[in-house]
Amino acid sequence: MNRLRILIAFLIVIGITIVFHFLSWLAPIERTIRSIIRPLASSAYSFSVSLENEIQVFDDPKELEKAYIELISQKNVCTVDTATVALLTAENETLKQQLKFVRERELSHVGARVIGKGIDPLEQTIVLDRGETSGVSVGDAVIVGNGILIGQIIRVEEGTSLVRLLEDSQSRMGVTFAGNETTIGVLEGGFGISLHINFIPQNEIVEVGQTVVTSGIVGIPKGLVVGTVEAVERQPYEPFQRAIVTPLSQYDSLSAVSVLIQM
Amino acid sequence: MFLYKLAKLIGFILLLLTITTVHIFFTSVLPEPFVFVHVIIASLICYLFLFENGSVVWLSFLLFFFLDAYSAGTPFGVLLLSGTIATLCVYWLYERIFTNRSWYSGLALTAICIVLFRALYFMLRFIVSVYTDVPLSFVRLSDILLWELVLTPSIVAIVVAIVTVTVPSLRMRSKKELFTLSRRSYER
Repeated sequence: MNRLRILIAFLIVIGITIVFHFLSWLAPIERTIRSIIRPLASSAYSFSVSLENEIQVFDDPKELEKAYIELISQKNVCTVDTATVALLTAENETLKQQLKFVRERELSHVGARVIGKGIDPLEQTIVLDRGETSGVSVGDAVIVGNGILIGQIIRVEEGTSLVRLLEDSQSRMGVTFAGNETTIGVLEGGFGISLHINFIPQNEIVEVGQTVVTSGIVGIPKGLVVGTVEAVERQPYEPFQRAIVTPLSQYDSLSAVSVLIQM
Repeated sequence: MFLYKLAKLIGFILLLLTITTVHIFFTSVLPEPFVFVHVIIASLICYLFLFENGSVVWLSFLLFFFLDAYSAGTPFGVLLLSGTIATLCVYWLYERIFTNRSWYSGLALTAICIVLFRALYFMLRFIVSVYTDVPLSFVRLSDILLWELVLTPSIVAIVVAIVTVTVPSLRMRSKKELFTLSRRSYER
């Protein structure tokens, strides 16, 4: 009898709970319960999905061996892909910078890829995959990154062109310091070892760390960055002083460049 | 006294959340057929063995209420009614018939609880499906019942066996409970 009463009591409690649910009187409590349980359940679900992606069941040892060999070859492909992606990412970054620079300065340009280097060890030259057909002409400036000058076009063919790098001994360029309007000297290359500015008047103040830019003569746009002053050589009895310049770009790792076309 | 009661209440709520979380975790993470281990029923039987009082029925009421609140597919009240009544019946069986804390009584009680739970569940789902025209797959439900009957009682039996071996004092029911049972049989 007692048990029957207990059973009836529980049935009444459960009945009341169900009625309250359908009357939505328990909705706040149910919402609270769901809000507590849901994050835990979704973590469990994410864990189960990741586990399913990582775990694979094999019925046969040969299947496992085959899957293992396949995995090794996929890993090798991924390693190559990772290196390629890193290279492309760096190239993409430099191309973005070049594009931003030419758009800001409203310069005509054409993108080019470095496809080779000069074979003569005394020459510091690179070959580009753009030529006459793309509008490239002799004397055009070649830049990388954010307007960093690396050289000048010296020879143009139909589909390719040759660039003399700044560090080439035959390279000559009028330069000045950032913020200065007049040409202060001539930038010359030093057989691939260094850059130096010659014929700087003695009364010109040259400081280490100053940015060197093109002065806008001989068809090269003004303001293209060349490098920074590393050292100054000055003799009181000589009419000119000399500055050693560190280039901002590494010439041995060039891949994508922009040619500023003269209009 | 108040702090003790508050601590008990907080412990009870944490227990509820833990059991519910573990149940959901098992159903999400484990592959078939281990997903059919009914963590809630297993926990209720272990709770019954440990505390030996009627609060297990209230615990089952709350746990199945939580499950009903969280589940979207099952009509509200089906899990609550079947789970609570099954636990109540199992509590009475523990009081009168399976009165010792042994692995075989754990096995039997869990199996009976699952059978009662699923029987009530099938019945209620059938009634609801008649009115809502939602199809039921009895083959699938039978499959679930069979796996639950194999796995859940086995796990409870193993747990009870391990606990009673490692903690010998838990093999015997509490002296107070034994005295009450003896007095009732004497009075009859």
